[in-house]
Amino acid sequence: MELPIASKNLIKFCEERDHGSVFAPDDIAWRRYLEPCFAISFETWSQLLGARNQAGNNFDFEMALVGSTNAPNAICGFDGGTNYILLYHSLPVCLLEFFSRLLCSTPILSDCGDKDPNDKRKKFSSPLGFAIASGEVAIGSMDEVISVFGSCSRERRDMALRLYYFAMQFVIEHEMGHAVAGHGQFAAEELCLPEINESEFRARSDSSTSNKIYAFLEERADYGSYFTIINYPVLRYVQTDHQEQPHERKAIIEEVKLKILAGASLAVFWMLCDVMEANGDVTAHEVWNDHPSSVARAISFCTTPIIAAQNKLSKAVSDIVEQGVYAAWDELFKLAGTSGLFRPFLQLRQLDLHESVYAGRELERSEAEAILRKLERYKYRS
Amino acid sequence: MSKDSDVFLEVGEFLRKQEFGARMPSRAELTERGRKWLESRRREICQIITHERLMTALKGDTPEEEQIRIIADLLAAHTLGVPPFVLARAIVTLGSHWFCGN
Repeated sequence: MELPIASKNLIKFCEERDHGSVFAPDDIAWRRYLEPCFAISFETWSQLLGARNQAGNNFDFEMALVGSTNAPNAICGFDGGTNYILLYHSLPVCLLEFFSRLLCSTPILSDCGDKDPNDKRKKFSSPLGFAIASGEVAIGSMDEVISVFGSCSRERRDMALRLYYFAMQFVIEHEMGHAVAGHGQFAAEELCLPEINESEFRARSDSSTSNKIYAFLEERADYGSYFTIINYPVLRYVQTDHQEQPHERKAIIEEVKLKILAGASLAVFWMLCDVMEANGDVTAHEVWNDHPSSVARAISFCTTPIIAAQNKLSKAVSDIVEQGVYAAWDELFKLAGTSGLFRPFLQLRQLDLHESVYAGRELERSEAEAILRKLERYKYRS
Repeated sequence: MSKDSDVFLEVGEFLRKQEFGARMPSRAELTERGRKWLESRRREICQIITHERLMTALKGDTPEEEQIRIIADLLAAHTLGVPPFVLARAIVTLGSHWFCGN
């Protein structure tokens, strides 16, 4: 995949909506740190370009990296019939630091690589992922992020990079999930019409209902990302006409485990963002607004891929997904014992998990079904 | 929060509802987004309502809700991307100088 060239409309969209300026990374940064993250979504969904939805729009999208002073984020905007997938430049930088330090300073994946005594000397006062953003450390390139924050063990540095790729793929695929499901057009046409009158606007903006609808759409986008990044490669593996070898099966289970760990760790990064923005309030990551809480998203990463595989795919696929997911749980429980950041994952052991994490915060089933029926008009199909 | 910040935030929240993010932006980000958006549209808005009509609408003895209604009516025929009454509230709160001053 070549670095996408931004259209004038995309540049205008970014400027008008305060998403910063589109910028092109240098060739090394693109090839090593960004192209592997963008490519899956770009190649998968380019095949859908031009597909028409029932609401009369032809599927179109553009992707770009933007230099934004806002906190790390990614955006799916919709304007003039085109979906714009924007990645704030701070996100890859912060996530690469986050995963480099995670592999350097915690016992995550302790069987990966040799322990290097020099790793213990790398100490920073900022939370994982925020040493650069807070100004504690200045870096000049993505390569430098790894050399400053990464483990001295080559295997653990490579593992950090692999988890970073998976986490970034989840983020980009989450935004593509909004685009492919037509959420932007749905929001523009049904949720926030600029010409509606004040009383209708107030009624629609009633924070609890409006936020639940948006949070529901966010959950759908997360669900799409689990499917594309975790379940679909397993499905392809199972469908491949080959004699299954034990080592191949082991490798695909290991890959599922690493993807779940990357996704769960990404949710931990979002939790840290919540707490930092709330000036250290450690309950901030439990707050639902127009997104599910970061804790709920973390838990969903560890449970929903299994449910999705069981409901939609064959037993052969769901068996592999289950084994990978449970291997990731073991790793997360070990981490929860040593790092407070990962303690919320202990909730996975609770029998009343759904009650404690989601109940009362989501749309009623009938409301969710009504939204899904409306969304059918906006969905693009090949 | 000042009244100015509140109207910037309301505009920022409306803009935010037209798109999706990997996570919810902070109030500070939304406030800044609303402020920048209003600044970028200042000239266009001022051309629509004109300084004279704005001064008439914002006369001291007109109740604030009535001022908002008059300005919203002036904006209603134009597609600006944000509901007219949200913009009108911003104009009344921020004042004619902010929008049409030099």
